[in-house]
Amino acid sequence: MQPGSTVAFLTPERHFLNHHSTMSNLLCLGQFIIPLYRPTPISLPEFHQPAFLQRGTRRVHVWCSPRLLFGDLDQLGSDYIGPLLGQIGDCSSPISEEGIPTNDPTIMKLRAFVVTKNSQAPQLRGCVFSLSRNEQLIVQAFRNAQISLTPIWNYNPNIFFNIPQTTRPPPINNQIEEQASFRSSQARCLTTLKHHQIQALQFLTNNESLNSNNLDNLWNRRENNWIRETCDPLNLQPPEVDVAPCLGSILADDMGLGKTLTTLMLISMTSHSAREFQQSDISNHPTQCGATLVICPLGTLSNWENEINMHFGPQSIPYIIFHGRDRQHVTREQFDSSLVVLTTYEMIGASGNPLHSNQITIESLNITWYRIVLDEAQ
Amino acid sequence: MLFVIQSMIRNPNANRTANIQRLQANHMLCLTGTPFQNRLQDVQSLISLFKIWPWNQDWIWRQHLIPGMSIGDRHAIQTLNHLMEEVCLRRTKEVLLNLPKKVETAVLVRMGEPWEGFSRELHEEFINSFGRLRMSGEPWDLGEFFRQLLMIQQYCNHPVFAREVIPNRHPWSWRDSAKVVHLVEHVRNFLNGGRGIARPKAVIFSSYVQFLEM
Repeated sequence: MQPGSTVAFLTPERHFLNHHSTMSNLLCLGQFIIPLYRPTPISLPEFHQPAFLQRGTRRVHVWCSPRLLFGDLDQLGSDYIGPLLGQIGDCSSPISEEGIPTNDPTIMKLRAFVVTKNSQAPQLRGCVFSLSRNEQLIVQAFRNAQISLTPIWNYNPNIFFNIPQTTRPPPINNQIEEQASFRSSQARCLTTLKHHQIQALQFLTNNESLNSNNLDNLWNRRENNWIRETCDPLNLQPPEVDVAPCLGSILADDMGLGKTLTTLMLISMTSHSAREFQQSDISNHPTQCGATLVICPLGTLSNWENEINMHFGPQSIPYIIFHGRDRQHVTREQFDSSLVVLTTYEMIGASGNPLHSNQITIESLNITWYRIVLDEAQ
Repeated sequence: MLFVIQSMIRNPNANRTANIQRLQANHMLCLTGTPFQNRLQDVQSLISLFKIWPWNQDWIWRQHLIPGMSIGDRHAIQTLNHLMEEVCLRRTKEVLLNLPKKVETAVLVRMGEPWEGFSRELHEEFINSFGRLRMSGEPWDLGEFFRQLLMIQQYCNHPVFAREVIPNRHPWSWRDSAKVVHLVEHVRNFLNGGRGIARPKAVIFSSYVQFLEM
C-alpha cells in the first residue's frame, strides 16, 4: 500500500504524462461510508488510515496498513462487493497514476480509509474508480449491498489524476419533451437543445414546482434526526412570520455546457405562468412583475444580450437592460412587458453608491420578481 | 477577474449577499461555472436564497453542518450530500461531451538564420546584466529585468518583438516566426488528409494578434 496522501503530491508533469494514455475512459463513481460493526477488540486512537479490502472465503476483510486486520464488511456487503475484488484472496488496490491498464484484470480501484473516532463506530470511507464500461455493474453491486454511492459535491479532479466524476441523470419522472410549453419554446428557439440541456431543464422546472418541494421533504427524513436530537428545541419551531419560499436550483455545470441557453429556455417555457403571476397581483405592494431579473457581472451583460438575440427570434424574449444612467428612464410598462430584465450586481442594494443616494436601484423599485437569476453566483 | 466573480456572494456577511437576500422573488436560479470550494459558508449563502426552513437558518449551519463537516462527521456529510443532490446540478465537460482524447505534443522548433544568432546575443546580454556575469554593486533595475525577459520570450514567438534592438533588412513577415512556419506546415499536412480523417477541420487558438494583424 502506498500512503494515502501520494495523490496530492504528484508533480504536474507526472499528471500530464499519464493523463492522456490511460485516464480518458476512467470515472470516479462517487464515495461511500460504511460503518464497521465488528472491529478488532483493541483500543485505537483517533486515526485516519489508508485501508484496502480483501475477498475472504465468507466475508470481505478490511485491512489497514501495515498488516492490521481491522474488521469485516457485513454479509450483504461481502456477498456483493466481494466479487468486484476478484478471486478469493484478492485485494483492492488504490487508484494511481497508471489508472487501470489494459492488462489489469481489476474491475474497480478504491481509495479507502479507516476512520476511527472515540465517540463513533469505526468507518470505512472511500471513493470508487472504474472504467466507464464497468460503471453499471459496480453501481448495481453497491446498490445490492445497500451501500450508497453518492456523488462528491465538491469533487476536484485535479487531486485524482484528472479523472472526472460520473454524471448520473437527475431522477425525474416528468418527460419535459412531451409538454406543450417545451414544444412551443423549442419552436421559438433557433437552436435545438442538446440532451444534457433538456435534462437540466427538467431538473430546473421540477425544482420550481410547488408540489415537489424537495428541501421540505429532505428535512423530514430520518437521516436528519442527528440535528433534531441535538439542537436547541426552540430552533425546531418554524418562525411565526411565514416567509414565502423562493423555489429553485443551483446549476453548476462546467463553462461551455450552455447554462445561459438553458436558462433562456426555462424563461421562455414558463412565460405563461409568469404572466399569470403578474396578473394575480392583488396586494399591489410590492408589485408583482412577470419578468425574470438576471443579475450578472457587468462583463457578461452583453453576452446575455447576444445569446437572447442569437438563439431566439425577434421579440420572442422581450428584454430590457437596467444599468447605467439610462435606467432612470425605464418605465413601469417596460418592466411589465419584458420577460427578462438584465442588470448588474452594482444595481442591487439600498441606495447603490452612497454618493448618489437618490439613484434608483433594483431594491428601490420594490418589485416581487417572477424569478431571479444570479449569474456567477459562486 | 476571478476574485471579482468569486466574491459576488461568497461572504455571508458581505453587504451584497444581504442585498440579494432582501430582494423578493417567486423563484431563484443560481448559475455558477466554478466548482464549489470547500468553504461551507458559500454553500450556505446559496442555499439560504431559497428561503426554505430550516435550511435558511443560521443555526443549522453554524451549530450542526459546518462543525460536523469540519470533523468529517458521517451524518453531516450525508445531510449535505442529499441537500446538494436536491438543489444542485453539476455536470462536467469531459463526461458530457464525450470529447476525443486530447493529444499534446511538445515540438522543438529552431529559429533558423539569422535569428538564431541574435537570440544568443539577447541571452548573453541578459546574463551579463542580470545573471551570473552581473558585476556586484550594480543597481538592480527590476523594470529592465522584466522588460528583457519578456522580450526574449516574445522573440521566440516572432523576432519582430525585438525590433528595437536588432537590425532588420526586410519588411517583417509571418515567415520570420519559426513557430508559425511549423504550424502552417503541420496544418497543411493535416488538411491534406495526413491523419486519414475524411473531412479534416482545424481550429487554431492563438494570442499572436499583433503580427498576425488580427
